[in-house]
Amino acid sequence: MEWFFPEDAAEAARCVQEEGVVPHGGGTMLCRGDLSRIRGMVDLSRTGLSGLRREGETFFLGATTTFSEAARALRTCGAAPALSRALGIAAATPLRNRITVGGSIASFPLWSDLMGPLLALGSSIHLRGRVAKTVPLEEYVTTPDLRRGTLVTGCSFSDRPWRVWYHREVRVRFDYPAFTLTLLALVEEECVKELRAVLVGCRNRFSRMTEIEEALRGFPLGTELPGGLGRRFDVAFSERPHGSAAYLREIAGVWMERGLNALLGNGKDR
Amino acid sequence: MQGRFRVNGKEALWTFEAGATLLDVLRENGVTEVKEGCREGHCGCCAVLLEGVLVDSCQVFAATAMEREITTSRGLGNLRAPSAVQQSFVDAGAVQCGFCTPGMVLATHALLEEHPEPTEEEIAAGLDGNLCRCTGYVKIAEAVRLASERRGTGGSCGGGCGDGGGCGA
Repeated sequence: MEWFFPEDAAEAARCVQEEGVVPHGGGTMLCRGDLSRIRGMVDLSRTGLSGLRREGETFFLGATTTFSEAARALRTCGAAPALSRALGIAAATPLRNRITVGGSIASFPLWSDLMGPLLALGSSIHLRGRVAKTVPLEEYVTTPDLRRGTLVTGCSFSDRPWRVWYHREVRVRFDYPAFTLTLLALVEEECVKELRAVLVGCRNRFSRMTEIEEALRGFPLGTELPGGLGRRFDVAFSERPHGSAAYLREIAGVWMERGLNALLGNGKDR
Repeated sequence: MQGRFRVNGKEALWTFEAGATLLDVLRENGVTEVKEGCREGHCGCCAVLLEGVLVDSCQVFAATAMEREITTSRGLGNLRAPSAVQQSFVDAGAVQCGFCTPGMVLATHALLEEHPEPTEEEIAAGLDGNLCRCTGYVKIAEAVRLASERRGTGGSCGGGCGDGGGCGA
């Protein structure tokens, strides 16, 4: 295996187009994997792809920004609180100091704390290399061909005054989550104008819960939520160390109801 | 491949496999205060400071740490001149088998650099990547609070010399 140390993104993008050559952000996924098929690794630390930048209402997070750096930068400017909170509690301190935004997008592990908030925010992914364009995150994660020979240079999203709620289903604090649940609500005149609900960690990796989003459009805040919302979305799990598929589906329903109640309802347990 | 490393202020030229982790390269070259635990980034026994940032060396390829400053627990102080954090771990009885201690000390150092007077929540978050199977964390958290106080007053001896920690040792 050979290492490449490009000095800028253009050079890095050229490197990753070669067969068997992969980008290296923080390396936490690569360290655990089988290196026998990797012919070369491209260290991105000198490419200047790090940091949070704002252009008008749009925020741009560079690919090599670590979770710790991203959480701190977002917190400092008060942007995307769901994302900032999720990144600030993901994994553990030494890993948050190493895991990068770009690496986590490209590898999309089932336990990702990044992808739920990014999907809910309607983020776009910036690519260079074999494919050089900006695509919606949903398209990127569902189109494997976009990942071959391309380099994620960052992601962008527009922030709005969302009310946010985020949950990671873990057995103990430092555990990988079985799933994460992100709820974002835009409220106008005490009614829900727009709701976004994303679950990450299910059999299809993620699920946008449009049934719930539509059911609660126009919902008056602070009133009792309709019953049975936890069963009103279609999501399936695989058997996991955290529990059986049936258990995880039930728990996801419970947390969905709790989250919606905390975010929009009257706060009383049903 | 060959690379130049800076460990605790000293330069070294080491030969290693391209896919080797920083943990392996450090230990193969005698930096054995960096402990091998889970090798999965769970336990924090192999923690080092890379350019001042706490990382698990088992999750870092050595190639990416070349030419960068690496600090281990030995770089913070020694038996004759321990750092405030190291002495606080001794004084609080926060060491039992000692296997996790180098990582705990570095995590505490990194935490106090960012939060000189950490809250309980910040202590829990700062040490969330370090596991101890002996102590139950109570005395470790106590050591962190003690180190915070001592760093605030500039001392490390804890008053054993009769100077109330103000001797600067």
